[in-house]
Amino acid sequence: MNNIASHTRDVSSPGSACLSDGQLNALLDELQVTPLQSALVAHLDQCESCRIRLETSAADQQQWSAVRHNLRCSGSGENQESARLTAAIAALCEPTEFDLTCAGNIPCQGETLSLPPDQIGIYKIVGQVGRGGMGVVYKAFDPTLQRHVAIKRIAEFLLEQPGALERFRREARAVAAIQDPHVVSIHSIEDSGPHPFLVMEFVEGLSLAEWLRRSGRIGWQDVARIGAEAAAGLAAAHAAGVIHRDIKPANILVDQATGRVKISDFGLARMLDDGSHTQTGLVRGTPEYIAPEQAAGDPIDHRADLFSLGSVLYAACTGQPPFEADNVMAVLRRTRENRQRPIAEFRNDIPQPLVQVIDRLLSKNPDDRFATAGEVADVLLRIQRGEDVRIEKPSRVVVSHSSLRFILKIAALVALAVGIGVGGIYARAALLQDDDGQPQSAPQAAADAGKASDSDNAAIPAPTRVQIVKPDDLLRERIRAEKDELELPRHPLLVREFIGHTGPVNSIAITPDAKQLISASGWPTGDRSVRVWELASGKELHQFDTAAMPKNHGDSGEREAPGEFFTVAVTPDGQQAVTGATGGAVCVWSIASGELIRQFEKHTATVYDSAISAKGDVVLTGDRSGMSRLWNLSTGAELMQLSGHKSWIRCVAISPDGKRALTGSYDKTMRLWDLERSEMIREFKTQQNWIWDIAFAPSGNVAACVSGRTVQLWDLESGELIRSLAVGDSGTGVDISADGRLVIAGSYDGKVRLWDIDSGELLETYTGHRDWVWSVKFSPDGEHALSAGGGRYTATGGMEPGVDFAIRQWKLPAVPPRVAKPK
Amino acid sequence: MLQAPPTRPTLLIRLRGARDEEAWRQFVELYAPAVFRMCRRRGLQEADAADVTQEVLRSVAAGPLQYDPQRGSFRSWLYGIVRNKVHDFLQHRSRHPSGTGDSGMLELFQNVPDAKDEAQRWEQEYQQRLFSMAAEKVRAVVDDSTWQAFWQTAIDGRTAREVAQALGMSEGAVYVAKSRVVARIKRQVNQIEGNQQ
Repeated sequence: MNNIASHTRDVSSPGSACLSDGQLNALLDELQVTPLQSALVAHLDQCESCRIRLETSAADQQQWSAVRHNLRCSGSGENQESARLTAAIAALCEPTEFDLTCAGNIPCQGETLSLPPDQIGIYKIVGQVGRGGMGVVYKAFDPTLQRHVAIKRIAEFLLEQPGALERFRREARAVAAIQDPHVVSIHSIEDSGPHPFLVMEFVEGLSLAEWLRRSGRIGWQDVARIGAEAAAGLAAAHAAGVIHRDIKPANILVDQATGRVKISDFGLARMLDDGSHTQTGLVRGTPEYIAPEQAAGDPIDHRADLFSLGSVLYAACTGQPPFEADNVMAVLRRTRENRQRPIAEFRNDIPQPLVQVIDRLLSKNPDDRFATAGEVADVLLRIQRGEDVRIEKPSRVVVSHSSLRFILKIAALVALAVGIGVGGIYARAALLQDDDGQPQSAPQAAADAGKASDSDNAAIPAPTRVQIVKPDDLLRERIRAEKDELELPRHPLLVREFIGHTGPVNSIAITPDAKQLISASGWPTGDRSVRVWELASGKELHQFDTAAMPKNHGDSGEREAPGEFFTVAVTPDGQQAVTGATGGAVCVWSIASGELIRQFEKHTATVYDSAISAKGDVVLTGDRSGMSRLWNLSTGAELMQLSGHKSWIRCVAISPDGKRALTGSYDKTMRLWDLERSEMIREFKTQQNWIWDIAFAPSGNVAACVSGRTVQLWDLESGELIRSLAVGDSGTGVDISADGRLVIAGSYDGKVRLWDIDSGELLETYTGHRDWVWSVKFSPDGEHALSAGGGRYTATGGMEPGVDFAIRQWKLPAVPPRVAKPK
Repeated sequence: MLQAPPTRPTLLIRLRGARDEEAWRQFVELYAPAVFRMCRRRGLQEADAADVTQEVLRSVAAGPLQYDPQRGSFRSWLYGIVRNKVHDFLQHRSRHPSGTGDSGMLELFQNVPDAKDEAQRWEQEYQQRLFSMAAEKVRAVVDDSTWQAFWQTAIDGRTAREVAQALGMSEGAVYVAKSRVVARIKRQVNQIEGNQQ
């Protein structure tokens, strides 16, 4: 700012004093000149030094010139926005087009390292050809040898572990020593710079994974040939003392020109393993293809590669890996325990010997597989040529019970899907139902908290300390971990958080005096405790003595682990609580002492919900077999069975007058029952969605239920749907306030929403839960609501407990007066 | 020039948090023009430049966390990403000609501007965008004569007396007006950059 002052007259007015700094700043802070300031402005008409001071306190010289420079350019018209750009910006800002809420959908694209290079070492980068587990793979040109090479840069985070670089070197050298036409050769290892990379043979072609993606399945001759060549490559590697450890379709490349099979990524998986991880049972490898001993974290030898080869060939025949599930734990368990579905169930054109080779490669016991890769190569080659080959059966055949169960279950599921004939809706349900993989282990969180000590351990297998890490998942998990660390803004109506549970909290109940809160933890991988809290302080008072509870007396399905609680209800006198848990365990507890008083032993499947009548005489429970039972609370006598639902009963409720009951089910219906006459009054059909939770309005004539992504208000007398309220993701728990004014609901999106029942107006959205919300309840004091939850989808689509198990107490907002309307 | 501090990764995390639509909008508005123009300079047609712009910004916000603040500023990192994307795009094009006589594609490769020059333009455009966003915000809240007093003196370089006469205000008022606007623009710039951290 050099010439601004020069244009002003250098006249100082004796009549007006120069401006103080405070006055200058006040002038700058206002938008309009206030009357009081006009004298100051008048002074500025004349006093050059004050003008300069004003300008300087507005901005320093650099800033003035930055403003001038940048605005002059942008105003010049040279950079007028093109309509295309404006449209692009609009499209990007359109929220529907941009949904980041699901970390599982995050595409892994782009660069792992900070700056995409033009050149790495002496190699000119031609383009990115892929992203292996360990980092980005580029196609590059070697100017000295005038040939194309593949360059693999190792993602930095993989080298963070101590000793990783050394292992990388050692392993890469070992792999470089393998010279075989069926192994992608390593030309050189460049590890002097900050970013180590490998220079490898460039294979123009496609991976078996892509081939499978394109054609679904592969002719048996090709399967045999690929198997033979891959086995030959493995034999060469094994001879050099290198185990691949991560044989999978993506690592089997097929040269376009020659059709030759080449195995890539040799030994790289191994390089990432360090001693400490091996000790804690950390497993590396792609879960769908790894050997059972690898899945168990046991020591492995070259025969683990043979199992993986078997998995690959199985996938080549059937289009799917032998052991699939929606989460890593489940894949691991199936790999260890289940037998693969026979190939003949997929297609019948595969010659028997080839099927036998694959089955034998997939033997759980390494001793039952072939002894060497060379042997496999030999046999497969002969099969490919059409020679008559006899495959000896392994001496021992182990068929586990679980495999039988698994097959039956698959059959049942298939039947279900076919019977219902709607695939889409069942996508989520299948995820939930067929979740074979909930680890039957003590919850990790509890174990970490040092609480896995009591008699639980006798009945429950030790924690499976197995973790599969796919490198892409690592990245996703890293993002999630960073997000988990982020502090969320505190919602203004949040009163307090009840911290203590180490697993998802599925159900909460409040004593009628509004003094105590009871919470129960179950799934996924809950801490399996029932806790009593003081509402006024948020203090945990004590836990129920759950050791006294039978662990799993009925069917838990494969989804739930023993001892997981799904529901808790409190008696009107505030003295007792009823819980429902895995396998149908229904228990009555003393809230004060935490002791088990009695059990209701009729349910044979997990009890998801329970309700106690206002008089406190009866208890209603519903289970996953579709059976609902009414009990005498004090004697434990079973009074009534409400049967007819065709799928899981997820929720039950008793009307305020105790005469009627509601049950809601995965069969997408809600049923209203007359408890006095023991008959069904009416069936309510929701559109296409299961019923997750139900609450009666105090009048008893209206009920709210959660179905899919809606909360529905039903007129129980007419059977009409009054109103449907939207939640952001699948809805979970619902409750109606004691005055009948408000309805509250939880959702998978972690939000708790509060509506005015009369108008359907959304009054408040409580944010703070990081994971799924399961249970919401109004406090009997009429001033608060509580919510609890936990659990989420993993980055890969499975399920995990998540990070947030806090129960939250919210203040209810001021509610406008009701408006009475003429009929 | 205002020295822009390096963008900290918390912005990226916020963008991923999906709760912060405002941060996302600002992010897009701030970077989209620079990305778009860089594509155009590399010879992409408007429609293609718009596509690449969308792709780049989305991938930055949705992809894995790749930006490492210790290796330089967010802007220079993004610059690298754009360069790569444009390169990929052109390469894809040259391999799959669109059949409309795209023989000029190879020339585009040779058309690559000098790297240093390009980086400089990138930074310039970012700065211009940053300042004009800030100025737009300020302009919306001051009255027109105040804005004109600022623009005509500070940007167009006319003297305070000329402008005062033209606008019918006192010279002192012109000084106050332009200083106020500059102070506000400065604050807005800091705020936008602060949001972007």
